[in-house]
Amino acid sequence: MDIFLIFISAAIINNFVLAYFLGICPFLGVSNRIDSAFSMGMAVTFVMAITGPATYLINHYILIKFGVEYLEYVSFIIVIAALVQLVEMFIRKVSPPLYRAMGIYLPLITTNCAILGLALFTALRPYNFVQSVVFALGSGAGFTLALIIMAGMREDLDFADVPGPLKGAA
Amino acid sequence: MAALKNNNLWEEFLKGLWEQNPVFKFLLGMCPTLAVTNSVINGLAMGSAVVFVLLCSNVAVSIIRKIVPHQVRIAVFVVCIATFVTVADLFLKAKFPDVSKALGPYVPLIVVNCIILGRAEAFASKSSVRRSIFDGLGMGAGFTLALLLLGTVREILGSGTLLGIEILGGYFERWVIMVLPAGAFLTLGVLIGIFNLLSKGKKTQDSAGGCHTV
Amino acid sequence: MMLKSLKMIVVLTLAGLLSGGFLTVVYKKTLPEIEKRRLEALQEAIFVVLPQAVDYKETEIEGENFYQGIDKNGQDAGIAFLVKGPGFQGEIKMMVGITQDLSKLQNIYILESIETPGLGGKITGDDFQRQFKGLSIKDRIELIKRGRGRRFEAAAQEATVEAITGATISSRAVVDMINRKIARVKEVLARGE
Repeated sequence: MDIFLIFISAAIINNFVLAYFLGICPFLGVSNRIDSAFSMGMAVTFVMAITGPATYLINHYILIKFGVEYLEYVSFIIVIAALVQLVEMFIRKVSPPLYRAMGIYLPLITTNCAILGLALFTALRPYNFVQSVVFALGSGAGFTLALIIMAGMREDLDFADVPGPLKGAA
Repeated sequence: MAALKNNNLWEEFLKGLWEQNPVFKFLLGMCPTLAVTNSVINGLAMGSAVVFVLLCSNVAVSIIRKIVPHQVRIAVFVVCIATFVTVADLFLKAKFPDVSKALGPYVPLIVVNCIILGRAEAFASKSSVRRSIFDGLGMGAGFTLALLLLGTVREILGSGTLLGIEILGGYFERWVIMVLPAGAFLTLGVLIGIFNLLSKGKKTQDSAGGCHTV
Repeated sequence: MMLKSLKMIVVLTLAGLLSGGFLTVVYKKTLPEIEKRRLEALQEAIFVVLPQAVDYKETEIEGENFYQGIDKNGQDAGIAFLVKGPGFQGEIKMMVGITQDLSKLQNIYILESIETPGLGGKITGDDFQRQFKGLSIKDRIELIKRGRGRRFEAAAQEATVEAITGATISSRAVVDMINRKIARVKEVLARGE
């Protein structure tokens, strides 16, 4: 499967947020300003780039090898939680200002459906390792794109006259 | 004393249906709400699965709430939830394979359904088993209610059927957009708008602790 | 501090072990039924692609599984086999049935696919799969893009399939994997005779 095609299809045609409805919670919560949307998008892409291939490896070299595919969900979510924790600690050490800037978003990413969704989709598809990395990057890019588009619209909507009940959650 | 407790339990259940409806008020559990509501049956199936997992995890978390160290609580809760989701998934694959196929990857995504982790963290980890059961049932019912509403609108307008049965006849031009992602967003938006309008009078200060407090 | 860390590790490990153990039990209990469903789906597919068959016999030659169809008179009713391969979005799995003399395709039935809904997803629809009925497989099946108007029935004499508009990749994937498999099937069966 063409690498370029995998990237484009994950980012645009089969956009995680707009086509698969993954990652809606942060989508609705963080998309009111473009810069926070961008930060969240970058954080998610970064985590995806690590967890996608990681879960690929776990799936192929442990789950399938030992015939315990039914432990997929449990093992994936543990890996994701652990990786997010590690990423958080890593960023804290390496760049405290960066950590402060996106600090709150990081733990939220663990429960982001998009991450687990990425892991599950990667397991479903006949990609090899390199393709799974590209798929992860493409999905992250698509997520960021959707968030930014939404943030752009919401920033504009702030100035519009929207009827009370349609302003969002109570 | 017993009567008072029963009232409170009943209230725990009811609040999930309206005042603190996880979908319409707190915008939790959006992923499945949008994804599987293209037909009422799918919405019902997803709702039932979530009620099952929510109930089991609320009970489990409530039982172990005093032994789990604070720092690892999220990890432990999440393992619990993933376990029950796997059980639900295996059960569906064995007994209702068509439903399993229709719901597809959204069954394992119940693991990261904000509602379940949100309730575990905000409620079950601080409450008795009994109250957790009722809270779980209420929130699950509220969620299922939201799914049914959305599913009904989308199925009738998008496919002209209800539960698979033709009810609108050939003269009605199907709004195909309703069964596509765009229709899901639109319908949800309108429903939230209606919900806000109807609940303008009742202002509630309770927080249900969504994803944001995790 | 040490004790706290220890407690965390113990609790986590315990949680993991309990979960794993519990799930293994549930898995073992549900396995027979899940297997039954899988077999049912497989059988249903065989009877769709071999319309004359009322029974079948499974054989294996050189690592390839074949389902020999048997009609109501006990005669051979064609051969069915699974075809798997990468589509646009994920793996496509289908059952293909050919005539006993290996000259024509009887039918195909897509078992699993996760192509783009509304586009590539149409490969599971009647319009697309119908084109394969009665196709000649003496040579490769060709995929053509839209151009010659409605030719769903006329294509039966030739060996062409019209691609789904907007889903060339999914359509091509299906045709390619069928061609590859049929070539292999012919090869294996020729040696087996």
